[in-house]
Amino acid sequence: MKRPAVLITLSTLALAPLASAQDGKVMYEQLCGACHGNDGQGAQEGQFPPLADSAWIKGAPDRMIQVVLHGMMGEVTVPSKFAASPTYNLVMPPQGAALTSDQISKITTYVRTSWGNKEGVITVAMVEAQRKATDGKTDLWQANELLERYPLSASVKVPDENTLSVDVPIRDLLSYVYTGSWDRLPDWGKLKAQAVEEEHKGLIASSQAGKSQNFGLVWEGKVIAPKSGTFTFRIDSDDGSRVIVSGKKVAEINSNGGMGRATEGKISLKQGEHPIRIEYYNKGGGHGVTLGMKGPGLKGWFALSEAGAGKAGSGGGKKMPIYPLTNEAVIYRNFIEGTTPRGIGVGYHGGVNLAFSADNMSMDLLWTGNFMDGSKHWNGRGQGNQPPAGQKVLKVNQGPSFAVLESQTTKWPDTWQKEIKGRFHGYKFNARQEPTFFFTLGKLQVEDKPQALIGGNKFGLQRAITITAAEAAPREVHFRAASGLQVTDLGGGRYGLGDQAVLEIGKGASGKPYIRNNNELLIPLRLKRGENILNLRYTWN
Amino acid sequence: MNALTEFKIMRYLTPFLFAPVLASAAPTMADFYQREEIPLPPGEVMEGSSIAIIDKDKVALGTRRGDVWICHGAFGDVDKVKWTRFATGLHEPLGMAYRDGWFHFTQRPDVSKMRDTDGDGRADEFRTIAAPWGIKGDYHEYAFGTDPDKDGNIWVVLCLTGSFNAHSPWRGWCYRITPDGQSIPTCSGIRSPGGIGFNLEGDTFYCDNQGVWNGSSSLKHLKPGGFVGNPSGNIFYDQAPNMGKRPTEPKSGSRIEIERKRIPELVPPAVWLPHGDLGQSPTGVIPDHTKGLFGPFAGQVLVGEQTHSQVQRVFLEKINGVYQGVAFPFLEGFRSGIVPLRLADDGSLFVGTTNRGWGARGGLPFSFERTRWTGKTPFEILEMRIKPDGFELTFTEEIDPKTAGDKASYSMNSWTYIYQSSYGSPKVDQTKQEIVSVTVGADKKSVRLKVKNLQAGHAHHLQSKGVRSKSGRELWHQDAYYTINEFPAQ
Repeated sequence: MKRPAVLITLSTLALAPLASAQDGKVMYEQLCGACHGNDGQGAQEGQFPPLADSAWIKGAPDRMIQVVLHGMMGEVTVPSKFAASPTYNLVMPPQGAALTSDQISKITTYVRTSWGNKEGVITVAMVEAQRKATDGKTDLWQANELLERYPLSASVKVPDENTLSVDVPIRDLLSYVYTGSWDRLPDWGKLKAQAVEEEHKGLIASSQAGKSQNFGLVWEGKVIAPKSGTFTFRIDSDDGSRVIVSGKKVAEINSNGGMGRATEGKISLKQGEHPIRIEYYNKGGGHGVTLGMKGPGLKGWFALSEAGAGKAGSGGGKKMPIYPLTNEAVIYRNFIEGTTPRGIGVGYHGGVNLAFSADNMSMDLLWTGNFMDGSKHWNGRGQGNQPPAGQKVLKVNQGPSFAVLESQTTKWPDTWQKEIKGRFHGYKFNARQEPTFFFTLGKLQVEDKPQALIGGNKFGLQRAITITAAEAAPREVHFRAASGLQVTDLGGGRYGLGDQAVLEIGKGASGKPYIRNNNELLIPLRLKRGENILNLRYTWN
Repeated sequence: MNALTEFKIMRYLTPFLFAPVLASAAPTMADFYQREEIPLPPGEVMEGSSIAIIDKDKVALGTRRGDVWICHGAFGDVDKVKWTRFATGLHEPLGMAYRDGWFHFTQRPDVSKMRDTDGDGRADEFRTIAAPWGIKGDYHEYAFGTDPDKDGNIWVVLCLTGSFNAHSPWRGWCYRITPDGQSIPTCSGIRSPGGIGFNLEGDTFYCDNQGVWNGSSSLKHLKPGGFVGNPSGNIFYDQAPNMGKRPTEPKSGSRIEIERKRIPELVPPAVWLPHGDLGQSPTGVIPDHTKGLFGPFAGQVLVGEQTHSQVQRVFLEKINGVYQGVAFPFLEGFRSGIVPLRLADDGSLFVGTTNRGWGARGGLPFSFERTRWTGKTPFEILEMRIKPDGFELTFTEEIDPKTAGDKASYSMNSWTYIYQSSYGSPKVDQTKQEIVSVTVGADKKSVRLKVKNLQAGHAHHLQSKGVRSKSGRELWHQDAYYTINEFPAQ
């Protein structure tokens, strides 16, 4: 019979060392390939991090074994010529409890010796040593924690052919962190840095601020020109940036926008060290910066940023604007910064936007301009809160919007009181897709109808809250119109909210509104049987 | 070379060994099932998260970005379909059904329903039915929901915070939501669901992923009052008096089979889906309700797979009141990771796919595909039932008694997983079973295997390489994974 002969032949082959390499490849493709790609370049054109040419798998094997054993989460940069994104923020699931040390040794060795990777093998003993070193660890590594213990190799060496050799790309690199919300590079001279760090790797990265929005970074250090001549610097960023070498502005992108706007500039440099200053800011949405340098003595583009030397038109961090269609409103339900997780964003035609909390039955945010950027939630696993994309963001309220107060000095409760517990029931659209929200407060039925006010000299929101009571409700039900921001009584039923907007409270279902601690605006409700309407109008200054 | 080493080497070499020798005889999926990609509106991102059949012409696709699209002409020529956008602004609808003009759906924050009241083709009324659980802004806190069951209730399973902890109320729980918005805590012990649905009998099942307290992914029975394995959410028992007392805490490092004896509420996985062998991330659960329009597997359960982009097939049986059964590989080659799947009355299988955030085979970021039976019946093991002394296999067509009756045509080995608080588990307690004898049934479509060394709590991998049909065909799928929880008396 033919088959047994074939069996025997290949069984013999199986005893050869070839079997190990084959095991590693088979296991890699079965268990890892779906994310990292059978070619090691990251599946789906680099949506997932590459392993080929990756600094993460180079050098001492400890870090790599730790990632496989315990998994990892948090934002990372992956220096690799295949990295399609400045940063990745995914989760590598732990494998230590599901795979044996022998399997891990074979898979990691396969990775270290494939696709151009020329690193040493990882033995079973090495895996066992790493297990022992972290015996008792049950949680995933946070990326920044892991990198503190096992930093990526900083050696991005310039080839030495009668040139100055460099130990780090930018020497004596310091980063200064600033907080602020800008639409262009600010005047740094007028600002005070919050923090300063030494960046020993000599590479810049937008993640060095440790923030995701409304921040700026300035880096200063010394860059090396290996030979005298003309050098090109190429910068790309989300949002804006500027690179200054030897006091001369070489390139800048001075506006909001995503990656893919790479800009180059040239400068003549003598062989040796030159001061370099890079300025950067991020308003919201994704963030990133790449900086590369090209010129005499350098092979191709030399990376000065952790995310590599950058590409023309790289797509990482691109914004994904969500906007209403003409004469319609648009809804975005997701984690919006400034409201609760059950946040409902509404973008009205004309640039008036709000976020309603279906946990607190409360209009928590109001803003103008652009509605939302979907890129945080529509890339990768979509984690985190996304702030409003526009301007003049007014944090109107937090916490339950209605409460029963014994007196006007009783503290506002943090959670719903039983008798008036808020329960969200949904919303209905008018012909323009504009929602009216429905909810109950205990036995009270409420309709909350916001409408944008655009045109003339009124730019804001009209809001009608209709409360239907089956019977006369207790007199001490209060509505909290605003909290957590400065409130001033402007007279005539008008109240200043911060220094940004004015709230007019119509006469009707309410008793006299009152301010507490300059930061709370309460309206006692005189609820009659049947419908009670509260009219509110918010206008921006 | 000992048996275990030989087994390990054979396992890895098998695809290389047999493919060249038997390539000419090997059946392929295209012989039996035709898969088509349905063209999508250009420029739109439609990462499938839920599918509902509207009528004989229209199918609705819910997406991870919160849109619900309607495919018109979904049952005709795929090149002629038209798409309209019915709704936007949903919060990740993972479970959707169409009933009497309403779309019922489960999304991250709640169970809701929506409809178009003014007939303009767009939803304008959105009603929140219930929102008894907490969410804190962690993306892992997903909610998957079923169609309304025979009582009109929607079953929801709630992923743990970070897929590890219960940091928000009721993470790790299964709830039933009644049509008028009551919330009934129903099961505890969930970790990280990928999908939920019913078998043909109307019992509820869901897939949980390999992770903490889950040595491998599995299909689990949501038995009301039961604890399905992960104890992180059990801190909420005191707020669910209808569920009784909090179960004894499982001991990490043990086995489900052992802990079942200490913890009466513990419901063992009905069917292990061995990690790596049969996917890595199982998702949707649907019954084949078509009475034969999707091939010979009427009454069985289909399970989606997101990493390997496949559909697996499951035959379930209840032994001593406990669900167990067998998983077979079934369909593959989908263009991205399957999350929702839906079988229409006419036998059209629709799948929605995505690879964002969790890598998948297939090469596309998302797709919407339709698969139909060609009418040609594959030679497969149809059912595998446990007997006191082994198994009874039923085939889809008459077998060749010589090969099917030869015990050398079969081999079986088993293993289980450590039931532990760490993430996943290797295969452990590996055991080889002995096929003592094979008796061919009088109908020539079944065999009775007498097997020694069966193990409770193990996944039993049956390989039936030598079996041929009467017409000389080999099995389309030669692997089956039977999970034993109970032994029948007869």
